Amino acid sequence: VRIKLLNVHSHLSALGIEISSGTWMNALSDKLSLILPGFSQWTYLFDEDALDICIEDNSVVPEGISVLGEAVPYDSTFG
Amino acid sequence: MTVLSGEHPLAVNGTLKNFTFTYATPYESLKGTPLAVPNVASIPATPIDTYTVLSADFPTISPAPISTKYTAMLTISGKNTDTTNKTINFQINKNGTSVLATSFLSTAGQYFTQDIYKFLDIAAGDVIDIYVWCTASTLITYEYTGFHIMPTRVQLSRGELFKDVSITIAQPITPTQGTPAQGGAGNWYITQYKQGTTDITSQLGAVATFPFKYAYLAGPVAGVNIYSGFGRIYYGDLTQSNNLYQSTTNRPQYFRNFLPTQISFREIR
Repeated sequence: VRIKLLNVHSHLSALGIEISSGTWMNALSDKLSLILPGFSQWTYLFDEDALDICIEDNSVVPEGISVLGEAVPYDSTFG
Repeated sequence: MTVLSGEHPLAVNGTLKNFTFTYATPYESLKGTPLAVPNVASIPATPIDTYTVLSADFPTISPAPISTKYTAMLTISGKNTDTTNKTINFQINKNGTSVLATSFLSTAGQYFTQDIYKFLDIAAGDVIDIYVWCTASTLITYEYTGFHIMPTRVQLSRGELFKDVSITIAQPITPTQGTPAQGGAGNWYITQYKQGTTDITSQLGAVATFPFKYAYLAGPVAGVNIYSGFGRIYYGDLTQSNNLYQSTTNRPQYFRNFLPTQISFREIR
C-alpha cells in the first residue's frame, strides 16, 4: 500500500516534531513505527509539504495515520 | 446548378519536419572502495556525495524545439552489511534547498537503491548534494551515484493539427556500472485531445515507431493545463517522487523512461 499525506508540517508541529530540527527524521520514524509497524519507506517532499508512505504486507491503512497529515488517494497526485 | 471553380483547398500540408533527439551518456560513479555511511543521530554536516550538473549532460534536440523542459533521475545505492535490518535516512538538496527527505528499513545483507525523480527544471550548474546517515549501525555502505537528464513537455510546433506523424520511442539511457538491473520504466505521454480543460493523453511505451496518419495534439492553455503535446515523461514530470529497491545481487536498480529518438510531422494549416 502506498499513501500520500498532505499538510504534514502543521500536523508534525502539533506532535512536537519540527521539520527544521536536525533530528526530525528520527522523531518521525519513531512515530511511524508506532502507528505503522510494517512501514518500509517514507519520503517527505518539501515543496509539496507531503509524506509519501509505503507499507509492506498491510493493505489496511490505520485511522491513526491522520495525525501525520490529510490522506489522499495516491493516484490523485499523478499528473 | 451553381458550379464553383478555382476553389482554394481546405487545408495546406506543410513540409515534413523531422526532429532527432540524442542523449548523453549517463553520469555514473561506482565507488571502488565503498564509503562508510556516517553513524550519527542527525543529518551530517557534509554530504556523502555531490554532483554538479554539466551542460554536456543534456540531450540535444535538432532542430531546436520551440520550448522544452528538462528533468532528471538520480540513482543512489549502498548496502546494509549488518546482521539485522536497519533504518537508513537520506536527504537530497538541490542548490542547498531540500528536495526530499526519506527514511526506509534496509534489509540485512542486501543492496539498496533509491531512484529519485524530483528535479523538474534542472539546469547546468545545479548542485545536487546527497546526505545519507544511519543512527543504529556502523555497517552501512554507500557505493553508487548515477544521474541522467531527460526532456519533457516538448513543444515542436505552435499548431495542433498534424499529418504524417511519426514518433519513435526507445529507452536510450542505460547505466552500466556495478551490477545494474532495471527497476522501472515510464511511458512517453502525448496529449491527443482535450475534454473540457482536461488533457486526454495516450501512452507510448514500447521500443517502436508510432505512425499517425492524422493527429490532433493539444497545445497549451495558459493557466489551465500543463502542455504535453508531443510528449511528457512519467518519472520526473507526471509523477515526482522516489522509489526503493532492495536486492541481494543488483545495485543499482535503475529507473528510466521511454523517450523519443525521432519525431516527424507535417503541420496542417
